[in-house]
Amino acid sequence: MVVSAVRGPGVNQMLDDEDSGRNVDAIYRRHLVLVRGRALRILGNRALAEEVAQEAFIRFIGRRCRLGEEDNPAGMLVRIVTNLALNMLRDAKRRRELLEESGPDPEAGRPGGLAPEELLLLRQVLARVPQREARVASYYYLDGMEHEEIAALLGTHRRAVGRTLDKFRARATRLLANGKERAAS
Amino acid sequence: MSDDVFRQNKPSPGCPSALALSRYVIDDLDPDAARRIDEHLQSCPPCRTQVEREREEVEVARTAPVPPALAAAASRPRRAWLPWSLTAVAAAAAVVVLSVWILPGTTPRPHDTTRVKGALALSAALLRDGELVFEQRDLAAVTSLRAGDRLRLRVTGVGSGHLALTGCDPSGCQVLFRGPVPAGGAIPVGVRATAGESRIEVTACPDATRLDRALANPKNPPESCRRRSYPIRVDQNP
Repeated sequence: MVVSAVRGPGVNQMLDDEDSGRNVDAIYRRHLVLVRGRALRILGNRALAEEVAQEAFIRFIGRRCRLGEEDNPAGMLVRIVTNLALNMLRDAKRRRELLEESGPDPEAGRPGGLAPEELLLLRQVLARVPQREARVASYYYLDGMEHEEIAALLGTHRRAVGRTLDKFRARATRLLANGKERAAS
Repeated sequence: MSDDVFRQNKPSPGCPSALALSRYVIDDLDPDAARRIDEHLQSCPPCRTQVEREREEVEVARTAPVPPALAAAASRPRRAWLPWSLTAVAAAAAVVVLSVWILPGTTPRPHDTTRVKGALALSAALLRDGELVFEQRDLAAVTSLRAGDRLRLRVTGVGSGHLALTGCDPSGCQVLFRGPVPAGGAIPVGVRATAGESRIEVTACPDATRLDRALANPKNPPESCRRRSYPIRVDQNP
């Protein structure tokens, strides 16, 4: 028989492993780089990205304890860490630390992607727009995701993603123009 | 978009997203998406660099200590349902039942069918060499296994009734599990793969009697039963 059932203690052991701490260890180790990388792209600061990533895993496990296992752990973790990192970016005290006092982490960039100054400017805008626009714009600009990929992740329609990005662009254009005016005066 | 307020953070517009590359590195993409990235990497040095960098980080993370706060969160007792969730589910169920029973010209026969929640399907968690490779992947997307791999299967698309899980190879079929649909759909037996061509079948019926008939005569099962078959190729462990 090519496929055979595993019964008895072996099965119990396997199920116990998956339902207990070992499964949590496996999820953490498997997704850590993905989750931390997402936080790093938003925050541009490795230490804060580590902090946010750990909080995201704790919230993910808490959610799993309440609601059961996720069909798509990576997607859920990305949504959680995105919200946490954007909240941190928008927090006034953290914002100063992230965007004004310390320079961007060179490892936060992607080979061939945006330059550190461009990333800093983008983060400054993300910190000042409504949360929903910041979320969608961060997927589009920081991660380079296309409308359909974002829509699938968020469980929405790609046209809704497009509309949110249009609003973000209009708001970002105004913010950047105001910034230039202030700098000129 | 050339007149966009910002550029996208990737080498060129045709490159995969950073998230897709991260999911590629941990083997979390469906086979078609993974193949597209394979092809892209052949001609894109910056994306290749990113993938190599993440692979190294993933290798380090494989032995990373799990933060104590996370271990503590995982050891808290699991609460499957909160009272308010139960109330909400009961209310939703009542609406569904009512909307079925008040349809004109129909005679409800609630015991004639399995309760359907979508297409009958199996998803799998794969354990390889003691490591969890993936969780809850559609079994249809699991195209190749290695001998010794262990699968934990979950059935979706059926809320009640009886089901059977059957493993087949050219020499015949063997029932791996049969019984009432388990809570949450989690099949309470693991499946171990040995090398060769095989298939896993799941059959769902409203009750044990009809399930018996479906298994005894798989080519002509009762109308109220549903079946789905998944071809599986198992390679020798390298």
